[in-house]
Amino acid sequence: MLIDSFTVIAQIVNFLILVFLLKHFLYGPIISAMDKREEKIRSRLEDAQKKREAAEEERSGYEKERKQIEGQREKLLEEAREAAEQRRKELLEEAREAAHDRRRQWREALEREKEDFIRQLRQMAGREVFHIARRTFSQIADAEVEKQAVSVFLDQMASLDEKERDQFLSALEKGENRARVKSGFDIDPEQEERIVNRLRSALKEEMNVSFEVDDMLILGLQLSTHGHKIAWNIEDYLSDLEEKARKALNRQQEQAGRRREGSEEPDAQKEDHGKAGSDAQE
Amino acid sequence: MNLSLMDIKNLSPDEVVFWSWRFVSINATLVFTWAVMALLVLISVLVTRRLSSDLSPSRWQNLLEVIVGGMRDQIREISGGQDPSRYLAFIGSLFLFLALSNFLAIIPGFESPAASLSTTTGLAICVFVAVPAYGIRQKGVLGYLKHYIEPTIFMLPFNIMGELSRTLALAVRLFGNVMSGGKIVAILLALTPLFFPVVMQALGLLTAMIQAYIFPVLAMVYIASATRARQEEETEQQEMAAGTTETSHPKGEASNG
Repeated sequence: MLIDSFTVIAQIVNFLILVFLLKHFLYGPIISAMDKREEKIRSRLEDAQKKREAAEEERSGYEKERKQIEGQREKLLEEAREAAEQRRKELLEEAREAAHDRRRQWREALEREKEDFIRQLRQMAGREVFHIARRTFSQIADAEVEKQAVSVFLDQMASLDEKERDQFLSALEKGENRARVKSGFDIDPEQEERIVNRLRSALKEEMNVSFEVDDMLILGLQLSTHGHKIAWNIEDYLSDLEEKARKALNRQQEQAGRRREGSEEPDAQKEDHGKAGSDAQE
Repeated sequence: MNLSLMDIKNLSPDEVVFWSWRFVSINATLVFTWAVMALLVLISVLVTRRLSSDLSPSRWQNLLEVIVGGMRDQIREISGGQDPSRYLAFIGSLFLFLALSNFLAIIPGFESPAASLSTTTGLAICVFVAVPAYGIRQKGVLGYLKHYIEPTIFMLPFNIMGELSRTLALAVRLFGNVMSGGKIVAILLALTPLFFPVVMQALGLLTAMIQAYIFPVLAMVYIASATRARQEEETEQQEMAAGTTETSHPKGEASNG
């Protein structure tokens, strides 16, 4: 018989004991150790996962920040660029204005100089003309001419317009009917008589007339009373001439100025641009 | 041959009796069984005394963890995904005991306890008891007994016969393989004392290790069949439901086509 019953029972018991012993000494500790390790690994993995997530979050945060900074940088650059552009324009404008001012000043100075010159010239011309006229008239003023001047003066007195006449009469009244005739030459008594008569008939019978010589009048006569004057005078013509000459000069000057502006302006602007540009570059 | 306790005529180490008193007899089977048990427990105690749950365990601990982990995976696979910790102590002990016994058979003079029909019978009886025990614990007495009359009540005698015969087969298969391996080596040693027995010894070791693997695997299969019946029914139902939906698909496609 190959099967021994005692051995069978003994082996069953042995096996049960072995199961118990191995469960106690092998499976229990080993499995708990493995479980612990797995737990540890899991926790580490979880830790790692958490850390990775945190790192990822941090990274994305930094990324966002970086983009923000970049955006800000871009904005700042844009602002700086705009400011620089603004500044450039301002500088350009300033330079242009400065150039314009300089040119204007220069032109004004030129204008002033010219005006001064013209004024001086005019004064000189006026003086010379007066001088010449005076000399000429004094040279040519003989009795006939003086007689003629008196005639002209008297004609003028006769043909006074209503308004002037009224003004003179009221002034004469204030001056207690005293009037004075100034002349650039000596008037003979005959002529004086004639003048007095004519004045009295033209203006007022009661007026007293006195005579006086004034070289400045040259070839002219002047009737004056209490601050009012009526005169026929070569001086008037000269003043008229002077006025006309002045007007003609001004007109000519303006025309010249316009011509100059029309031709010089573009060149001047070009010059300004070039200058301003170089300024800005500097 | 002097090293061997057994004669060529002795089929089982049971026949080598050291001490006997009436019914009790201490034979080579028991002695070698105790030796294997002692060795297993000693290794376990030595290794598990200094267990660490660090990420780098000692080599011995690593070895035991690989073995235990492998056994757990095998049990989980065979039992169809059940929790392996319930079966590990029983199935694992079967494997470790048989594997170490058969492995130590390469030592001259050592006879594997599995070469004794008494040992294999004892282990087969353990399995024979364990199968209904696990089944009842899992499904209850009625639930377990119900599977004897499935699919019909006429299958009852065949089921019972199957239960008995597979236990017998379990015992005899292991005994026959391990015993024959040892005997072949012994016979060949008598015929050609050099080289050839070494090859046969290696072959015998392979066979014995395979048997040490097959025995617990079959035990697990039997236990699984007893505990898994309900789950199988559920999965079958699920599969059938899935099958009907699958069959409805081609129809729809056909109508579309």
